Amino acid sequence: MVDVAEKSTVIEDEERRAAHPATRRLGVLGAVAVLAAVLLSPALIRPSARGSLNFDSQLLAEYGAVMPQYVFIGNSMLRSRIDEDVLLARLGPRCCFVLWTGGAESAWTHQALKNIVLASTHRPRKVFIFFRDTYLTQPTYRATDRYWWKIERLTHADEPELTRSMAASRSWQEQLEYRLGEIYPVQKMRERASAAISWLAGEIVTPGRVRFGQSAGEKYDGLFDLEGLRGTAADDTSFAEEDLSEFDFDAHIESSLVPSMIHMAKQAGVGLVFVRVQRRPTPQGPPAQRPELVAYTAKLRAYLARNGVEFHDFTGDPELTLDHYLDGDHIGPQWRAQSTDNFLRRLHGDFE
Amino acid sequence: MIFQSLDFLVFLVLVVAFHWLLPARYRSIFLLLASWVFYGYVHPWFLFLLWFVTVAVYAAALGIERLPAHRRAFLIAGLGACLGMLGVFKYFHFFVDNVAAVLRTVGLGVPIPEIRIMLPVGISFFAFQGMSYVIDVYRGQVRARSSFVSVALFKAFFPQLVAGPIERGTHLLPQLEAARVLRADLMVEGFLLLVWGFFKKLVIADNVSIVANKVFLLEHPSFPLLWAGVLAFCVQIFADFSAYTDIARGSAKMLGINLVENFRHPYAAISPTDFWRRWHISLSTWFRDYVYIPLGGNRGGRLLEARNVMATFLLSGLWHGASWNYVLWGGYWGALIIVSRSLGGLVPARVWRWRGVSGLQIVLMFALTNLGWLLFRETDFRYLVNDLTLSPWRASAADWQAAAYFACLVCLYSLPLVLHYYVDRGRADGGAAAAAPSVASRPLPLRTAVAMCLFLAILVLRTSNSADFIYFKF
Repeated sequence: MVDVAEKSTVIEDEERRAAHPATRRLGVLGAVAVLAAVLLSPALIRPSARGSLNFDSQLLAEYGAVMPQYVFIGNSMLRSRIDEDVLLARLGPRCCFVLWTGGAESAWTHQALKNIVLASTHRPRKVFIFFRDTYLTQPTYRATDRYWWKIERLTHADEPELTRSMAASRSWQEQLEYRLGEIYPVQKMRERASAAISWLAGEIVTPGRVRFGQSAGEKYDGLFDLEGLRGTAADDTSFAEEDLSEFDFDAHIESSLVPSMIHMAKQAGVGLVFVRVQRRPTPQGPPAQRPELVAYTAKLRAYLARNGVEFHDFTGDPELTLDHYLDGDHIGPQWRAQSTDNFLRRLHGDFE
Repeated sequence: MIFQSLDFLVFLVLVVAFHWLLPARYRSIFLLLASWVFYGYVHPWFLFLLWFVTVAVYAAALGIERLPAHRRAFLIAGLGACLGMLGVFKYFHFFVDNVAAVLRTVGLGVPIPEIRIMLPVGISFFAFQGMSYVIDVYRGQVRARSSFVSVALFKAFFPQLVAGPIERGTHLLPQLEAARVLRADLMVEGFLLLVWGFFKKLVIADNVSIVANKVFLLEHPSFPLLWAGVLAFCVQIFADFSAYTDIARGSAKMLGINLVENFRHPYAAISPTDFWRRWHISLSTWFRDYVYIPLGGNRGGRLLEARNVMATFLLSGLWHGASWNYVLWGGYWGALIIVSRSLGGLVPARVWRWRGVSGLQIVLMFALTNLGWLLFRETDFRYLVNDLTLSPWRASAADWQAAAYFACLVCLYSLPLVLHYYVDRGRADGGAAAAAPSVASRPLPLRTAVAMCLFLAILVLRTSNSADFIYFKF
């Protein structure tokens, strides 16, 4: 009761204060000032948000130096399944080149194919693209903010196909966010600010080790390698939380980057192979799949066949049981060589 | 609908605009409909639960007042509806899993069919708010409302529906029923609270959560790395939950309604009791008024008091989640309070006045709070045992260096919280003027400048993917 009485007095005080015309005027002025500050200040931050010139020419040079026959593109799904040393041992030296980065999805894959593999004068025989479920037709997935820089490193200033595909695949919220990003280009500033905070933390602990403005946290990334994570840790995407609209193959395929990848590969005379990885199985057997996902996969398979592109689905592979999985959909490091051999066996025709 | 989404911002702007444009008599019904849209935005069927509890609570309260001969039966029915819903949707799996485990232990293992029940967001919050209304009517502290809209809006008022603060009828109902007047100062205060809340969530909580999540994914963390992760979680949970409260209070203020304060710089607490006067105040006062005091409170001697404290905190732990680690966490706090009360009497009063003692108390409390957060965060007992048996001597220099880096990173992101404490501590430590928002007493240009800085910081420092509020799952 005491509390209620005290709060009532405070509210009455506030009401008395609010009734004063000067306070009211100040309030309105304050609201206008805050609004103006909020709307105008971010526009003062100039660094470009999109279309960076941070292209990683080193990677292109490395690729050109290897001149591989087979190229593998993907993210940790690829990294945890394919052991490069085993590939080299089985297929011979200078046979393969693995292009992977953690968290990369469809947009990164497209850029790697376009600006590394097909930008080089060397043409490989086959390019294997690893993906999960419906991610191929989601070009905006992991293509913003903290993932953008990875795509940026494979991107030139003018990328009409990427821009078109991403614009066509955005929801109205994403579209609005993107437009705001264009008006208020703060993305670069965000990267610099978090790198500066990281640098400062590093400077406090180990002074002088990292150049000003560079992130000091990267040297500790090794502590959190897949091998050190809990076996029960959930994967970064949850089956239960999937958005049903993503299973609508017909609605997404044309706006995705798949047609562009097929077109570019055909033009260059490079064989394209899409490899769908198996999600985490159950103790009883293969992972449960929604009927919508089964229908989506059937349509994808038919679409790729119509376009003369190979498709391999590892879902239901009897050799990939739950024991082989580390966390989520990742294969454990001790099974990587076996998984690579399994892959080579299943796709032996591609390597003849 | 989640607060840190564009959808919510659009929703809030529309609701605030229409609310003030509408004639006063339609405002409550409009707010009620808006609140239902807010709650049913992602999963419309959740609304049936909310409607069920609302009707049950409304009918029970009216029954208590109008049929005094059966008031007890109506009380039990009202509480039963709330607790029954909680039991089914929140504790069913917990109950079944534990019964199955016991049966297995005694050799009577039976296959249990898997039934998946989705946990509706905010169920614990609106169930407790409903119970408090029924109990208050039963006790005669609140008049049962005949207006269904009033009761329904009290139950569903969207800013505080999903994660509190848990309001009482004595505080919120009169405000919802009164004619609300548009006030520029409240709008500005509300806006500033919103910006501060979004800053805490998007900049502090989300950034430090990256450290906490990384560390708690490790199979074998080293001692220093584990505690750097616990420190990160300690900052994350405070920034995250208090951010929700600030956004809720800010949104409510823009609609002319003052919600109760839920946090008062809890990490500046000097004792376990003090911590619970500062942390999740609306829940701790709920348990105090509806569990601890009815059990007998501190009447009846030390032993009974200890029993009441422990029962209250074990229930409070269970309220947080259907998992034994939350019960353990509740028990830990109960034990801390019992021990601190016992020891407090042994120390001469003048000792507490010595210079530096309160600083030491804060440091000690902060360490004990961190230990508590480890119990809270580590839901798997196997890992918890492993964590508690880690030795600092077995960690390498590289481990200590990495941990120091992550701890520094967390501290840097937490600096605004520390600064806020120093600006606000007179009010917070005084306690009496708790209802007065600290921002209200600052000159307007200063408030504008601070809001601008916070807004810029949100743009520049927020993470790309904001996690859900931690307390959503409770």
